[in-house]
Amino acid sequence: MTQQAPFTTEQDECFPDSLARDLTQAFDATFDAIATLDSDWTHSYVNQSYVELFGYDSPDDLLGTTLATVCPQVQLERVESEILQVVERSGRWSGESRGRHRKGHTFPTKLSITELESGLFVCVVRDVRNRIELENQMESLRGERNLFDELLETAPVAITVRDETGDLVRANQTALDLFGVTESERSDETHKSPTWTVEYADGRDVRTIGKPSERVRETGDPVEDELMFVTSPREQTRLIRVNARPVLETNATNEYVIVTAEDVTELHEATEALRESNERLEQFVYVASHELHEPLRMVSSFLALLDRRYGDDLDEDAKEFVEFAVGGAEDMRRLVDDLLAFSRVTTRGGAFEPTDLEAVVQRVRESLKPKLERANATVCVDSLPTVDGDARQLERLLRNLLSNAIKYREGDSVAIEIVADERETHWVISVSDDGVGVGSAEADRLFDLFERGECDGRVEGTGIGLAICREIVRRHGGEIWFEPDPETGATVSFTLPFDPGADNDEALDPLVVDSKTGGVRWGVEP
Amino acid sequence: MTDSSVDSACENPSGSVNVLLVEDNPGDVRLTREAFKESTLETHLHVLTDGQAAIDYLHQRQGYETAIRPDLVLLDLNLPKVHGLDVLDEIKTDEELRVLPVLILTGSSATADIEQSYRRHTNAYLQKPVDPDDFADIATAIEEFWFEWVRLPTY
Repeated sequence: MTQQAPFTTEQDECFPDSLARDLTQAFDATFDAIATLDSDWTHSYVNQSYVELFGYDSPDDLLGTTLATVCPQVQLERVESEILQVVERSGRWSGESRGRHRKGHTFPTKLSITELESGLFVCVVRDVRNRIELENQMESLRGERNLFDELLETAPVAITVRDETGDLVRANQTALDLFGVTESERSDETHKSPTWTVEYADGRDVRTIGKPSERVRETGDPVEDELMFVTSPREQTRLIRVNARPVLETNATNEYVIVTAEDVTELHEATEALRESNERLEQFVYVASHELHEPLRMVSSFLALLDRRYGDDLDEDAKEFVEFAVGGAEDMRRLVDDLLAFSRVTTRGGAFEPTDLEAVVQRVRESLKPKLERANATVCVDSLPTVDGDARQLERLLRNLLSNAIKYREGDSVAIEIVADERETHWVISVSDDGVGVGSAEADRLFDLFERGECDGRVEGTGIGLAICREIVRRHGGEIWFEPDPETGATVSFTLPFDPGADNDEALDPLVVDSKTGGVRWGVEP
Repeated sequence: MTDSSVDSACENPSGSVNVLLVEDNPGDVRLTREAFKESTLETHLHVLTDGQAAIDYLHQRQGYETAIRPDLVLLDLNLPKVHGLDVLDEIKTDEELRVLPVLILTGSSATADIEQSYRRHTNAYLQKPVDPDDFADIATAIEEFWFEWVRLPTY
């Protein structure tokens, strides 16, 4: 079968052959797939695009076949008659249908069928796979965008976006609430005329160094964890933690700055209240134990004086009474001394400096020499590191642990071992003994104030020694514990971080409520 | 609890010494008296119970015009009206009084108190002992050292 030109000159003498040829060539050159159909829907002409669209090699493959070969749906009886009706009425039908590739798979097409005066039909088929893909992509983008909007609006963090001129282009609900902006003002609110003001909490001048977003635009570097006060017409002054970072769009024409702000007012007030209460408590313990010391000295001194001057005149009962009173006063004095030492760990601590633990252990051994000898104690010391800490407190810590090992020995000797283990961020120092050991039930409790080991009947002590140890370790940013179920005796381990300042001393300056604004301010109360 | 019996210097026979004790706690006053009572030397202990009185006494003013100048001062730190460290300051910055030996005698063992006292030129810092025997030993040691061995300027 030979390809028939869609155009003939038979009916129009003014229509030259050459033009028909040209038009046919033009049809072959278009990207749209075009075919002419006889009255029985047989292909009488197909252009190159039509052949390629359905996966054929040459027009010959399709000439003489019906439209149903490539568009099976349109030739179903019902559909075909509907199409014909439309074509008859308006001269043209267009709609969507599945095209069928030579290899069998189908794909979405847009199809138009027009009836020519000659009685032929012109069928134009367009592959709409790309368009549908695009629509699907758009749809999923819309979905993502909705999700993003939802995330932005429900985020408990205030998020604002500014463009390269500093104009506010986006602010979520949390930001509007924080800055006291109403919904109606939302669109008017720009960088140029904000209704809120911000200040740096540490007193740096916003006008001199700029807001975080301005600093980001200027330097291109992110601004991290700035504490600022924000004051708005409708809200009290709040303390916020601000982060700002640049976002470069991929086409590099728009540079945005994303600014996030968390309201840390309550958090800070609570932390501050806790810190103050803790400080008052420490101060109380210190003052109480200090003040107790003097009257107690009176009791002890005069009891001793009484015993010395009149001891010979007392009968056995009176002597015993005085003995009990002296013993009680003595116990209480030790208690007060230990409490004082306990409270001094935090209230009167020394500066941290590089401290050689081996030297510390050496000093402890010397100060405990008589006790160690009496207890037939051997102390085996591994090589110990130099740590950053308060030398006097570390000495007290190790002295307390060694004293405990001596106190709670089993039999008439004790072997003590001190080892150090280097971990990623800290040292673990362990003091082991072969004494009576510690039950797992009481292990944690023993670090609390006034808690004592099970054999307290025969061992002297106030129950403050280990509490002091825990205070010292905590002040150094570490932890202390009894190793669970050692083979023999007891093992106390504690950690000393390489950088004890890393977690500590993050306390902010005191926050003070401003009586005028009801807001909060840094500094000290007048 | 001011000791009102202010002796005149010329009445003291040689071999007796005058010690000014500035101490507000009656118990400590009593312990100090007991301690010195047991010592060998005859010691006149004049007691003042607040810092301001001590300053006035040493300057011989405000009712203390006829006060005798002590040979030694025993000074507590936690005193009413004027703190012991300020009394010490007053003595050690005064052209006339600075030669007077001043010993801090206190219950405090705080390193800050010890350091501050020496920075203000105390001649010694003593912590009150608990045991009366120790207290007596200190009294004896003070007498032996300051009044038998030490040569002080005469005025």
